[in-house]
Amino acid sequence: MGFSWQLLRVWLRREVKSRYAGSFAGALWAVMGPVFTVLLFYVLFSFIFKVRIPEIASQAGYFYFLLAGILPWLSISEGLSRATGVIVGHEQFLQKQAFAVEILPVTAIAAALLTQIVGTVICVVLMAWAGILTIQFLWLFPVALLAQIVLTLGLGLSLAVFAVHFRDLLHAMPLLLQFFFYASPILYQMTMVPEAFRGLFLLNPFAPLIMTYHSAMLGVPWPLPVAIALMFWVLLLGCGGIWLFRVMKPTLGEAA
Amino acid sequence: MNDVASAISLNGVGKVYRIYSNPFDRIREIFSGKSRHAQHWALRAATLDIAKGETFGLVGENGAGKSTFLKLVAGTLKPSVGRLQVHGRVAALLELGAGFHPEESGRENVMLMAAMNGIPASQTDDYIREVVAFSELSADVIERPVKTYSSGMFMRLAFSAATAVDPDVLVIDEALSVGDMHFQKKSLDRIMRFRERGKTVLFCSHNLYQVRSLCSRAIWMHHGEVRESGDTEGVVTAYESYERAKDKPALAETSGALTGEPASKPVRAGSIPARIADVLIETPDGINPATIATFQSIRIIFEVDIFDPDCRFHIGFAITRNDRENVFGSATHFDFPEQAFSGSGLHRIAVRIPDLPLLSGDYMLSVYLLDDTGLQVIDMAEAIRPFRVLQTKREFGFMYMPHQWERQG
Repeated sequence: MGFSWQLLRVWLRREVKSRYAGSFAGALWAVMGPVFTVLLFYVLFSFIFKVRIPEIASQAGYFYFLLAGILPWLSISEGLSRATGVIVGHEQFLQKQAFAVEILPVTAIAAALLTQIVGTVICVVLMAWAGILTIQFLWLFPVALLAQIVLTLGLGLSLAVFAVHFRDLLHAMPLLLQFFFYASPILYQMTMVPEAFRGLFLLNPFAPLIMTYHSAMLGVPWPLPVAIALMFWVLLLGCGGIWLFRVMKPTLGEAA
Repeated sequence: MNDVASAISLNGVGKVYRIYSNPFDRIREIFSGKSRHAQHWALRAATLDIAKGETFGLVGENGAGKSTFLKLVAGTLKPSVGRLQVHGRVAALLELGAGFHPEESGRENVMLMAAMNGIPASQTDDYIREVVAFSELSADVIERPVKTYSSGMFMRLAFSAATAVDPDVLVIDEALSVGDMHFQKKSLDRIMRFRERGKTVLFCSHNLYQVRSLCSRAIWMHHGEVRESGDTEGVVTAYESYERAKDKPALAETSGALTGEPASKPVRAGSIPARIADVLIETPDGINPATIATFQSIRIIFEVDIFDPDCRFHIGFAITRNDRENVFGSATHFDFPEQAFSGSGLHRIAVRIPDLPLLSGDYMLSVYLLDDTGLQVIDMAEAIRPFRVLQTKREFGFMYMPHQWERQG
């Protein structure tokens, strides 16, 4: 059967519901995971390493800076790591039931986006309450979100197919994601990086994306090179990845 | 090929699995375009038309390519070569409940089945109602997670969901035994109703009795190839015979070599007193036909060369199934012990079997030329003149036994 939005909707509902089904706290875990991570980093970097964000006029400035970057990152990282294994995990099922295989990675990414959107809404409310919400660059948020969706779809779809043929990818993903987390300006600001190295960060597809989120949420400037790098990566990895998936899709169902 | 009248048509369809010695080779192949794999053909050059409304059987050993065939028709695999067309909506009962999630309720799983089978949202409610009604699960049970179901309840729901999509083509893989006796009958009835309503059914089973009963035509798949195709009785009989011979591997080769040529090697006159020259089977359809129908009258004709004018002899024969089980044997000295044949020259002796009671199968003859005591074998030819019997009625076994049913009391 071909792709249908109805199927995507039903499958997404299953994905979200079944993830926490049977656990005592249920969907609360979806929130508690990120909250725990954020608090951990906040305490560590704000109170021990004493990192300060001069652009934000608040005692808890680092907290909001951290949230702006880590919310999309947690979504990207969860979406990609789930998408990578999802076709491999459904190999038996796909042999028995005609099914639009793209539903699987797309659902993995969409489920992670839901958590991110809920988190972002809470974050914006908190910032408004603290009186530090700037709406100057808020228009960038949909741009960043769209870029993130295209980028993760392209990566997630092609990683999912690659993993079927090349299982090592399943083991490599946690390491790669960890590397890109520290190589992106999430815990630190670009101004803390020695000037000579800043250009290198544009080689990391996620760095310009995170910087765009910073601009959207915190009102910090959005330099042109960042915009160009973001566009470049979205076209190359996002659109290219979707194209690659379409090319490689016929190789599925042969590995059995 | 008439596309309108055929529900499933295959034209040179093959499926090859690529085997890579190293996972990198697959990636390299995509970018270089150079072949870096070994091949395993699960299905080769299948050309076949299954007409609309036909119930078509699929038999063969495990690993013969039946599952690949079904998956291709169901659309979970794509052919590597050739053209495959399936007209209309396909419902495949390859594995009941594939895609059911144990944590979700019966209703939620049925909703997913609706989405997977492309049932529009506007008809989903009707579909769910129909599935639940057929499955006979109570309103209370249908809201419970599927993991709490007994395996019978699970299968009932899965079967109902798979068959309620009103398919044009139904693909069934050994799925007829679902649930308890009551539900088994109900599911078989539903399949029978598909046939009556002119739907196409592709039926794969190891239960040859069911294949014979349900299917008008069939194919026998062997090592990825269509070994035989045509009317069910002939195809299933050929497969059955193969299975029998396979169980006795030592015989399979010898019986294959003996194709019914004149029995013994040419012998110089004088070294033995007599020899069997030829054996013929005469039927209303002619001499030595490829197949004989049950209840045809046949005549077995023995031609015997007698070199020694003093030789007195008897003739014996046996009808043997292809696994060398003797079905029936007789000899002239059983019936006329005092009247041995004699005289030099060519003798033609025939035995008539009216209304041949053999049922479908592959059979052979063994012929014995005996001395006047019936104890000494002068010449013999075993496992010759193979022939196939095809029945037109539904009885099963070796041979037809006259029987009458009576109602007592």
